[in-house]
Amino acid sequence: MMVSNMTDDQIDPPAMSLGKLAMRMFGATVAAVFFSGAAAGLFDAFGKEEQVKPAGWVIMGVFAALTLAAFWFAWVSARRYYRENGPLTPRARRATISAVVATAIGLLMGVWMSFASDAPEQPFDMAAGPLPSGVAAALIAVIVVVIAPITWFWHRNIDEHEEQSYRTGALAGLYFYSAVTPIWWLGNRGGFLPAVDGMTIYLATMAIWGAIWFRQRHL
Amino acid sequence: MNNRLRVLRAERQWSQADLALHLDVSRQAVNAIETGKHDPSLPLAFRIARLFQLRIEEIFDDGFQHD
Repeated sequence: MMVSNMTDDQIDPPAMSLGKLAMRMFGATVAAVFFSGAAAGLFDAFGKEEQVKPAGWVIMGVFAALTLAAFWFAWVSARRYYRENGPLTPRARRATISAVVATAIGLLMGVWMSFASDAPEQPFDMAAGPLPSGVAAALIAVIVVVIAPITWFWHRNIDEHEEQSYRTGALAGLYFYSAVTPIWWLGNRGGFLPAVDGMTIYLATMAIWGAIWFRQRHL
Repeated sequence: MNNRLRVLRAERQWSQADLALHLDVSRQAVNAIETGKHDPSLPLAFRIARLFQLRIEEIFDDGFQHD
């Protein structure tokens, strides 16, 4: 039998892990939100001034540039991850693109929801604050008409390892839901816990599901 | 389950991404199989065996000892 004399690094060149990419993306997102917020705040303040000093415009320009730098860092990181881990198979490419599109739509829905529910006269409550009925109906329509078909397409294109990771995460999520919901409900009936909050349980279940999926799939 | 996938891949100087392309799975799936974190389904095990022109038991070892 032919035996390879390649070293480990030749067989599998070191590549950026998804965890590292996720950390970089998280950092870039936080930086972009912070710097763009600072730039927007300065711009808003400038609107109330009669005359803005040149240094003010320079500072705002620096914040704007830092925002763009954060986006550039995210883009470069994603390119490097793809270069070191690719090329993707056609199936993996389809699954990845559909997941990215669904995530982007989800983020846009979140931004839209936060703007739509941002009523100055009441405290901001992303999870349970009132929404205009038209916005709520539109968001439901997006879930049914857009997100559901994308999810179906994603399921059709994942490989068996992804499917198993997803199922294991789903099972852990189901066990979590099945245990926590009655415990909370009993605690509420016993008078030592607040009323069961369905959205909190939903988000926690999704977090458990996602964490188990990520561990199985990428660690 | 132990397997010789990494050795077979190295003999052909394939990266995990190359093998993933041949098998139409993701690179993560190849990595999970090589490290024993994921046992492939029977259809995928047959695809792997056909690719390397070996029998399944020449690639995968479930630790069973014949008398």
